Amino acid sequence: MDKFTRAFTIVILTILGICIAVSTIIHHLTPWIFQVPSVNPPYLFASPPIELIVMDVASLVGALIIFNYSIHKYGLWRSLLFLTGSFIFTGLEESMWIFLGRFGVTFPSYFFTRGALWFFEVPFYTCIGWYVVAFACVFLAEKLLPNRHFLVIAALGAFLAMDLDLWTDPVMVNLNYASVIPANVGMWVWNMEYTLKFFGIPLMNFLGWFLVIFLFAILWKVVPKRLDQWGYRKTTLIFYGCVPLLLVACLLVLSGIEVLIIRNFFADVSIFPIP
Amino acid sequence: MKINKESFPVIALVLMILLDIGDAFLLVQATGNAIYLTLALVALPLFLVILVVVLFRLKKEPESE
Repeated sequence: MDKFTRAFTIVILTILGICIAVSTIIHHLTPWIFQVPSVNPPYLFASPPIELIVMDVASLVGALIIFNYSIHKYGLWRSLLFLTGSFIFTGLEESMWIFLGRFGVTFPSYFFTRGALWFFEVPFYTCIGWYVVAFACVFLAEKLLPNRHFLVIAALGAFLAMDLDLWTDPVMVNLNYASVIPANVGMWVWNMEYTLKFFGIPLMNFLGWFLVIFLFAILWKVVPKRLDQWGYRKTTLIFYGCVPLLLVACLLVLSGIEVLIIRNFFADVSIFPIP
Repeated sequence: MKINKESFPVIALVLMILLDIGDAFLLVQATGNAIYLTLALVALPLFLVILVVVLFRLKKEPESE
């Protein structure tokens, strides 16, 4: 391992660890800071703390399987860019919508109801799940369409991830019905009204899935290609520097579609509502 | 048996899908509403076909270094 990669690994994992530790403490001990809603989340086993820990560990195992392959294929530096980049980008993207909706800046959005570790207002297992799904779907796209343009690969990978969420999201938001402990909400709660829903889930969610993975796959394909020209330090800084730009792009595109198109023409339309 | 590292992302994704299907089963059991499993069964064939195609291609490819 070269000197830069070693320093980069220590710095990025330390920053991530501090963010997770602080967010977790705030979420559990001082929830009034983030105005965390008080609800009864679902549990499938009788011991909630153990279930929460198992969920984080299980997601970590999935991520380690992927990361192991990623190092083998792309090396540590590029693998860490994908792992931490997707974790930070998706965690901030989801937190952005949650906080903007919660504090009345935009329309009400959604919130997560349970988790052991947190990254801002997103559970650790969700951020790690994003990494697993994003990497695996882009991998599948590369295998299905070898030697195609990276935009095609990114679009197919994003479409596959969206397809996966199409049936998992309705299950997760209704999981309170399968809870062994009385629960009044699912794994997350959608507060969006006057919107177009698909299987009871706002369409914006599925558009968001597509856009987030599409944009991140492009970032990860394009920026590291300039390594020879920019060097490790500059390439890494530009990679993470692009994350806020992608967040702004997501905010503008998704809120634009929601406000200008969906609320004007498809408000309160429900396609395949779940009875 | 030696597992080709190229199949690791597929294995992780399949494990994740199996956990989600487990949740769908529990929900169908609790509510008697088969819609959750139907949703999975509508979306899954596409994914299964893709996974089979990818695994088939991986089998033909030599392991990359």
